[in-house]
Amino acid sequence: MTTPEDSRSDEALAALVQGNNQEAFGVLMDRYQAKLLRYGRRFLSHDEHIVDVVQDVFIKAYQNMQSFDATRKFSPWIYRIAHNAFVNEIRRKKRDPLVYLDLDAVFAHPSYEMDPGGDEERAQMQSLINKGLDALTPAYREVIILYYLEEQSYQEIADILQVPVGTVGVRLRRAREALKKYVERN
Amino acid sequence: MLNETDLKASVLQKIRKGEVSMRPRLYFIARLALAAFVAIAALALAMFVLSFVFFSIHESGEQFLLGFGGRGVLTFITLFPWWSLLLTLALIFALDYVLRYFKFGYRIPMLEIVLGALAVVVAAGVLISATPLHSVLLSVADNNELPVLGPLYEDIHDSHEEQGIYRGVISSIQGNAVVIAHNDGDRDTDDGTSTIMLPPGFNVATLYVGERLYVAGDKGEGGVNAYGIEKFAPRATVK
Repeated sequence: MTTPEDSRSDEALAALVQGNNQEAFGVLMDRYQAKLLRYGRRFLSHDEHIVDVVQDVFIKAYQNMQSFDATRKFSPWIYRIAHNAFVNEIRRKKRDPLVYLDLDAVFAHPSYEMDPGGDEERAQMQSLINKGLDALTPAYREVIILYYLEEQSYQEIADILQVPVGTVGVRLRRAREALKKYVERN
Repeated sequence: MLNETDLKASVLQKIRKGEVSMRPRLYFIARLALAAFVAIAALALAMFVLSFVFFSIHESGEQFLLGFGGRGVLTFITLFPWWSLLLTLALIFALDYVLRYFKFGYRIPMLEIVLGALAVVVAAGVLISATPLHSVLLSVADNNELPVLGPLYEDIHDSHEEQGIYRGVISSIQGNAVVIAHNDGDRDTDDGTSTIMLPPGFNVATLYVGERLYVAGDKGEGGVNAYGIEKFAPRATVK
């Protein structure tokens, strides 16, 4: 028996779902519904079909649950599914292929910053994000959302976006610079 | 449009009704195995193609063109099988794409994977070209017994006279000219003899009847005016 207050880890619940425990999947949905809706709303800029898209994310997560390695973290895994669904939604809406040669992922970036700043920097970024997040390109917007709002680590973001960790660092730095420039101009 | 409060119930209902089902673990194992197979196949094919390029350049004698000055280099560029280089690169990019399916694949920058794969493919290509593999395939092709790849191998021994390339065994030496006989031993009809006018200053005493020559030159009235000559001995059997 599982409850929303279940103290078991996401990974333990995912392992139960793999054993066909549908209630455990319900608990995971309770845990991630708000997060994914928030992530989607920020990423897709208040798309009216966001609930439908998140429903598809959960359906895909359930269908592909057997591909999840329960020894790894569940969060990047489901965020990866959400990322793909949101990118597809942008592609569908804008007819923008969004498939581009990502030069950041082509080259190695050995000297990226692992931690761009402390609490003060985070607070400053929150203010900038509130003012200019929607002005960023999806690639920059997403990395800002994942790091500052969803509080994912560099490695987790790398796993979600399926890019090298160095690419996350470089993209995050460029996204911050773009955001600062935008807010300063406006 | 679905309501936020109904989301969980809607998904669970679809699962309970059987509208949504979990894919079996075997499906993912099979996909992983397929990805691994495609990656290995792409790598092996790239190695084979590049080793064929190395073999064909050596076997046809076209590497000598690089020592025949500017014209030789231009002819080398004209004769180079660019399709095979493009195919090798395409296979390496395909390999990179498939490797992204694996966790280690996307954690390594694309350039490192591509350059690493290229280094492995070049090294393996050189090694494979030194084995008897292509010589054997060439012999089979010359006997008209190699399906699909046959014409590719037969092209190695083709004369390429239209590009000013002549190959053959010296049948006679007459003053400042030599007659070479070309017989690539295959089913095509490019066999024959050519009279080669040696370039000024070329020491004819270094040539002997029975030696195989690789000649680059322009066809004139008295024969072919050579601007580059090299002796060579292909590894595969050529008559």
